[in-house]
Amino acid sequence: MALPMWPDDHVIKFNVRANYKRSALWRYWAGIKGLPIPVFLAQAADSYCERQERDRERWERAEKRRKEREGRG
Amino acid sequence: MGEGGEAPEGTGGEGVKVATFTVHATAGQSARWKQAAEAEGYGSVGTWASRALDAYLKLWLAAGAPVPLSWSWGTVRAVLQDGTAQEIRGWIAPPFGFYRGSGDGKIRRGTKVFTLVYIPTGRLLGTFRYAAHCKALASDLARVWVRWDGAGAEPPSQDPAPIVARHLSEAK
Repeated sequence: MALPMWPDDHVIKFNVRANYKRSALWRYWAGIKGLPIPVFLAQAADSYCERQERDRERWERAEKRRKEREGRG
Repeated sequence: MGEGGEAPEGTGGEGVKVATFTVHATAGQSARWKQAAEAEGYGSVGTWASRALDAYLKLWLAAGAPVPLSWSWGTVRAVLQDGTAQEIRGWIAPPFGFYRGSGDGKIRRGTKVFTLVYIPTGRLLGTFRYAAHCKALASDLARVWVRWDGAGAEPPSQDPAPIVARHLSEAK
């Protein structure tokens, strides 16, 4: 019996649509990574979320420093 | 599906042919993605995810895309964990090769372990569950490592440790 590709809990499913040109590009780069496109999409989504969170934290730290400077000045 | 030219993305006109992918997510991932999609003003996670992948690819290519290697069946010379050098049948795309087995040496068929090797020195780079992960790591490393003829100090031109660590964590 084939092993499930996602042996861990995969509770929620999302449909992602793309025209053939875009999906061919995704298939190419996913193939280089050795991943199926849905897994590649999930990785990209996680990576994008991490980057957004890091940017938000950086912005919040900068805001905090700016307020401290204004408070001192 | 009707005939027609390709409609611009997002208009959903007649005759637009689309491919659909089903992405599986855990509850935690789903909550995170929904939050990110709402924060960016997207109505659905599916639309947001396609944009996220395009942005990810753009950054990835800007950072230096991995090199697609051509693999063939051959002999891999590996220096195992006990220090002995062995020649093992496996797949090669110089200067990388991988074989079915762990750092202890070749193990019998049916066992799902593959080890990537840097052929000029026989150095073991990482052990993965799938051959595809070995190929992906080799593609990434080929971008930063030059082909070495065996003379002088071993490359790389860039420390491979962060790349190897990233692939090992992504492979889990």
